[in-house]
Amino acid sequence: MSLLLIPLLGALLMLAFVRGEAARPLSLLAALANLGLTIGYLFWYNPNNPYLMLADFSWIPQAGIRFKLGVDGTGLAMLLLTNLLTPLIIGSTYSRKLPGVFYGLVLLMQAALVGVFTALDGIVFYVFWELALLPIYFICAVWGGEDRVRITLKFFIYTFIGSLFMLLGLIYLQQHAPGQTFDWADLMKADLTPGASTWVTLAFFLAFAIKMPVFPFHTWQPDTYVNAPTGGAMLLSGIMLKMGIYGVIRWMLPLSDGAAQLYPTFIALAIVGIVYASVIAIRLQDIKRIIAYASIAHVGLIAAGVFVGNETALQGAILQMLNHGINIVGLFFVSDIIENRTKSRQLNELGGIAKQAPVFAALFMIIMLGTVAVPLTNGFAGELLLLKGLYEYHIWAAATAGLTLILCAVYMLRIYQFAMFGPAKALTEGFRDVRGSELIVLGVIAALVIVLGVYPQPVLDLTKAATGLLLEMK
Amino acid sequence: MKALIILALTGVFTLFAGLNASKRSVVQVIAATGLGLALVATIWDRFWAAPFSIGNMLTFDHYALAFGSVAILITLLIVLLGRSGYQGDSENFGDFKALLVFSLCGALCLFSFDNLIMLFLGIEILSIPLYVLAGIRKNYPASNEAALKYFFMGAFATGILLFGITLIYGASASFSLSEISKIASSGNQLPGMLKVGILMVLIGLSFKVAAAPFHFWSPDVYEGSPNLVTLFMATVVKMAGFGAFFRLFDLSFAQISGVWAPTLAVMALLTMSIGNLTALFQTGFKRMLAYSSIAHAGYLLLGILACTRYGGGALLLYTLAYAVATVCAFTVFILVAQEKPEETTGMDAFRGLGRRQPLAAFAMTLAMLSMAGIPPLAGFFGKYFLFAQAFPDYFWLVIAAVVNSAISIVYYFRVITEMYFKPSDGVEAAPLTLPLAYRFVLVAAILILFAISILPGLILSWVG
Repeated sequence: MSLLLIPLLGALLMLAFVRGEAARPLSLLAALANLGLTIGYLFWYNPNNPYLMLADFSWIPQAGIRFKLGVDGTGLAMLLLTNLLTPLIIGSTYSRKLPGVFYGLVLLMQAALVGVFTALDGIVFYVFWELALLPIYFICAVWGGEDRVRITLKFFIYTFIGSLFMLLGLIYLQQHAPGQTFDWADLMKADLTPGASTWVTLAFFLAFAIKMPVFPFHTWQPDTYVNAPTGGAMLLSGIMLKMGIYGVIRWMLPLSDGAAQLYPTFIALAIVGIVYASVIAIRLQDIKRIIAYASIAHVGLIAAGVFVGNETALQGAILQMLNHGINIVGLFFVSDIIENRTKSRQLNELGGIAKQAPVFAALFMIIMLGTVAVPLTNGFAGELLLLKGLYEYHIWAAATAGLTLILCAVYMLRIYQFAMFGPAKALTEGFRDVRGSELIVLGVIAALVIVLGVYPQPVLDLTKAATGLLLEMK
Repeated sequence: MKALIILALTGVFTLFAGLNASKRSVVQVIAATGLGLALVATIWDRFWAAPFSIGNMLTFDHYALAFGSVAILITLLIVLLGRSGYQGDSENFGDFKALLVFSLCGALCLFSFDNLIMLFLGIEILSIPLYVLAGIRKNYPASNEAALKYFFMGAFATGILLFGITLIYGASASFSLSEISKIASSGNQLPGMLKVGILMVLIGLSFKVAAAPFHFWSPDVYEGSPNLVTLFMATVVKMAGFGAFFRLFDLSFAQISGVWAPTLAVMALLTMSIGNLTALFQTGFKRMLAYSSIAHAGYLLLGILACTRYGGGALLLYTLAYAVATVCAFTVFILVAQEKPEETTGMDAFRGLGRRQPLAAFAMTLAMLSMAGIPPLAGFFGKYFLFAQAFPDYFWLVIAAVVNSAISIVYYFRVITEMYFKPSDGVEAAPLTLPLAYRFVLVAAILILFAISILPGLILSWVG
């Protein structure tokens, strides 16, 4: 409960510092407090007693709705992701315009995400799911780029329509659940005919696929990421899209098997998305846009693994969600640093940064290698598990999805080569190296890339029991 | 019952106080005190008194008292706005307040009638003051037009309603709802006269709540009437219409829904779609809200179609959330419209409000988000319960309603865009002062909205 209250109260407190300088350190403090609490929960968690209840009281008894929050290993991994990335995001952004409102919205977003990842009641889940949309909408529409109003509204309506169908699915499940409540365990036991099972699964798929996004529901994503302020893009790609993947794991996979015939299509769409987005990313000039497409490709692999749903793939997916969050926040931060100093994100206008800023170049190198999934970086363990899971499902799925490793190396190395090497150009002349809070944030991200690459076992231990439990339900 | 007497007396006192045109504050104090007392009396009756009935005419059961208290609360908020938001001649200020209170008396009858005669009388008590109120700006042509249109349409609708009541009486030989219900649920072959009567009552009531295809009067009337009167029509009058609609069909005709439900289902579909699609193309704020209110009527019809699970609770929750959000929206609109000389105000009136008056902009944002039904705001819970109870029987209608909710985001968010995201010109950047009464109403409305989203179950159980 306090995981939810700290950011909520922090967000309220921010109203007192609407224009003040104190907003950033104070919000950072709240986010770090939440991180500390999460680490406490990680130590406290006992895999033999799968659910750690955080809150459970009656909310709307007439409709069978309880305010029930709890986590298992998967949820804890997501909490770690949220509460680890939020301080990094706060540390890596600097809002001159109304800082109190900006950081207040970031904290509100954090509270909503904590709610999404812990909710064990359908309506509570749905409410937090939509609540997360409001702060990010305002962040993108107030602090975003030129065409922000139109693009942000498109993003909002697109995701809102998807979620409304999920709500219908939840209501249908509740009315066919044995206890007629919205309790997660009760909903998952709903007695569905194959037809009903198919459409409920499709409704859920629509909501989650738009959020991730899976091809062909990705059309909102590149524009939104590019037009969002850096903090917003980090929230969207680092944490928010994981809501979709987590949603599949928690709310879609354990449903009855009546819709099993749909999953091959889902897997195929996810894999098509990987190749499609990678090929586009190779041909782009704008660094932020390349990162946006890279995100579609990486998430496509995670999504394929989740839809396959065997133990290896699920564990890889959870691990990779954490890794992807860390890497993508790092990449967006790198692109933000480059844009702030050179006023450009176009690869053909950049070059020679490595000589001017060696520390920056080294840290960027580590994050880039993590994204490419080189052994001993965090991306490697996750993607290896995912591909192994896909291989257990079908060899061609693994082979096609495996292209992501090669294509990703192409577009990431292309960014690195064009921006960092070669002769310095007019815009990159006098590029200042990172220092102060920039150095701390990038350093922490690079350290995480290496630590999780060398020793991912703690996260795997965390998720092993939980994925086993989910698979038993299936 | 106590509330009805208190309100009737309040109306009379307010009329007399209004004779002295210079004493606006006296009028204000009397009207507000009377409404406050009536609110306390209603809540007292709801929780600590046995249901009270007068000779098979009016029964003040939990349903009547719950709806009544909400209607009184909203009227109180409107009256509190009334000093600076009033647009008519100053000599009519007392009449204005008194007519609002008299109209509210009609609404209370509509929540509590047990007899078709009282339904008819309630509608007349509600409507006749409104015809005057709509035209209270005597020198403003649009206001006259609104009054005349409203009167013609209202008279026409009441005529059809009365015709229907007559036919029902012809078939059942009684005006009493319980007697009619016995005939309707007896299982015998239903007389054709009864069926025609029910459909005519349905049409009459649809006129009153502005459900398609009987909605054409409402945008013109909403636009031409003074802002406070429009606010009263969009909230209390709509609530009264639906309160009566539900009471009649739930108590008398629930058993024979086969006669009226298909018609009503098609009307609900038409109402929500026409309202939403037309609202998309409106440039004026009041017209946009008029069409959005038609769309909300469409969702509310779902509550009458599927009145099984939460009883009137879902309807109460929805109307409360909608009415409070509308109060917020109109308060802010009156505030920004005051400084515009021209009468029809477009969305650009709100430009830069986020910087000029953050509290008003925040209240407006909540109102728009709530009307769009975005969780965790009050409007979401209103929609949720209506949709969930209609879900088993009217699956297709709920899907249409969901798609419509998504469409409505476009026009509600237009206001938010104007307030926060559009660059404001120099003139529009000056801070705007918020009078104390407005501040009070906005804060009260925000608190109610949050209270609904934290404890929706409480409102739901209020009618039970």
